[in-house]
Amino acid sequence: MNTAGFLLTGILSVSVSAAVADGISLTLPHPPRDGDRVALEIRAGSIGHRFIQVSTESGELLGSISTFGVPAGKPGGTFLVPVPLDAVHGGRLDVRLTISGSDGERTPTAAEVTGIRLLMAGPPGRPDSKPGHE
Amino acid sequence: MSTNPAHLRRRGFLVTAATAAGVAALPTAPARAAAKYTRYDVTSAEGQQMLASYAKGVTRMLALPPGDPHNWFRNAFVHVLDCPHGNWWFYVWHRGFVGHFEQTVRVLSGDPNFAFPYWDWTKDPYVPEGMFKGVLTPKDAGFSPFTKDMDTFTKYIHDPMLTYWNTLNAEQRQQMSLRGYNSFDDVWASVNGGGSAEDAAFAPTSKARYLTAQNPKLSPAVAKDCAPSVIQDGLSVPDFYADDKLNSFNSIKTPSHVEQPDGTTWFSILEGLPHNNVHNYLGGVGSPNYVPPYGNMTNFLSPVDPIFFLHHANMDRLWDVWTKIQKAKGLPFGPGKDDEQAYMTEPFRFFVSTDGTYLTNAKAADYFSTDAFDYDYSPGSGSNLIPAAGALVAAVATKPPRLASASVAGNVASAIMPISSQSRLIAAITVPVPEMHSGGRSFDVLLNAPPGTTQANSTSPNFVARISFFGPAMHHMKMGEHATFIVPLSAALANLKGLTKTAADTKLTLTVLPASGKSKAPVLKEVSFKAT
Repeated sequence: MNTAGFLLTGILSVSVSAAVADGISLTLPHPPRDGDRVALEIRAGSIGHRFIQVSTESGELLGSISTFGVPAGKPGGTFLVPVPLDAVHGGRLDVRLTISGSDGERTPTAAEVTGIRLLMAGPPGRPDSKPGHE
Repeated sequence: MSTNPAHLRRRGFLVTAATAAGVAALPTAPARAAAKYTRYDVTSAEGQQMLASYAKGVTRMLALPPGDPHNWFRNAFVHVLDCPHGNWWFYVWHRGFVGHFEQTVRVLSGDPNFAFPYWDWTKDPYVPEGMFKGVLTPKDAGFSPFTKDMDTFTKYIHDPMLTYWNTLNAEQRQQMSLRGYNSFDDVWASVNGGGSAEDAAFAPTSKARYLTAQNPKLSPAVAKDCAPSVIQDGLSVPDFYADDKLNSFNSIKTPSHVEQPDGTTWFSILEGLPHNNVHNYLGGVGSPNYVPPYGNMTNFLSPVDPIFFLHHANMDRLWDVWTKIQKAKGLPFGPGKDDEQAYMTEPFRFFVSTDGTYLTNAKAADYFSTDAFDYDYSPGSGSNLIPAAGALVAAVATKPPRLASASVAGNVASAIMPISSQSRLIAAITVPVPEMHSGGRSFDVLLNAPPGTTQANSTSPNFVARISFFGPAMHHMKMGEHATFIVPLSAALANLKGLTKTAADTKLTLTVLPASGKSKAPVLKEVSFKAT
């Protein structure tokens, strides 16, 4: 059993374009406890000088990602966006993604956001801050 | 390297200290005397004085010929050639870059106490007023003779940079090759964008910075990424480096610092969010006023904008805050024992010393501590997270999790393990990656469904979750043969009858069905349970 995998919690959505339009629902193995740290892991494809905004279903902005130093045409890499615990309801987080640039704002394509996961870890110093623990 | 005996002694100490830090992280490092220089909040009275000295230094450097290594733009080219982003040398390299440059400004400004002020964008999410005055903005007329347009810039600095390029030694050229610069033409193509204004690192004077004295604020979105909660999350990680991103202060470990970020890169919270977004917004990304091209701060020529150094002083300050938090908590603050050698010996071959000497053999270890340049920071955002001396952080004892591997038959997996009504249960389910055009990319997971169940109902008490593959299958991409999904079972567990408060052996059966009735059920590769 790959216990390290337990830190990588989250259920992937059906497809990027459909999921982004309808919102993405991600689930933790259990509701976060006091001190837990939760973050969205977002894999960006080639987005050039655009930026991706991540908001909850209720419209609260969680964060934005933009690339720096990435050669033109290359994928942007993977980013972490912290998630406040009060944005998680019953172990579930519903988010929406938009991408903006000089050509306006729209939902990202599957090539622009190639993956999204919800990560959780305990606070530093607590044993479950390490992989292998919920 | 410097031949200053005091400098060498200090450097010798640093290597030792860095080694100790790597091994450990020894939190018992001796207290150091107060630093000689202080980097102040730019909005403080001392910070404002530093800005005045900084402006003198910039003026002097703009006046130096482009063949001089201390010329303002030549310094920015050090960043073009050598800067690491999206890897674990990001902080330490920029500490060296800013530190050496700070020493040069100290000399050229005539202010023996000069140290870069920092821009605390968490507290002040707007460009400091002083950075719109004189040569502290790259839109100032003092820049126009050099950056009026691409032709002007090319005539000014292309040939001196080519001359410098031709002096690079074999080790430097090897690093340039790793970066994708196999010739000076490659370097210059990154400057002029190969004909694409959108991809050019160069920005003309009129477009050099997008925020103005009349509109100095970061956008709400960028300010959000600089907010106290984000800074706290970025500082609340236990490891200098960890493969699991959520625990790592630094971005991904790479073979060399000069590799440019791409799809394999992952960014730490602080580098990925406030660092990247402040850079980009100042250069016009997301700006309602954007009209091509982008400004300086969006790319590797970003040190052309004097605010670069205030921005990076703040990033460096946050590394210093994190280090102090770790020390106060008795936690490691350097790379682990297995990583120490690779991290500390990474060569930095492009820095320039105060006397104009090219430092072709510097190493990461030389810059691991702020002692390298004998400075400290006045308190800023995040400093409140440093525990008071003597405060202890208690570890919380937890019971070890119970694990069970399931026996698998087709799309059904079973295991027996101690479960109570209080248990939290999750499963790791490994399924084949669907082939292109196979149709079925979503599957429903049931817990203890009646034998023979062939169709899932999301309102059933046995229904756990739907797992799906993300995005369309791409024929040109290599996909793994199997993928593992982590699925929480606690909610479904609550519907199981017969569980008591005391853990007792319980049979768990997972059934995985296609979400679409037309697709085939997957043949499970592996299923395991974890209960706490």
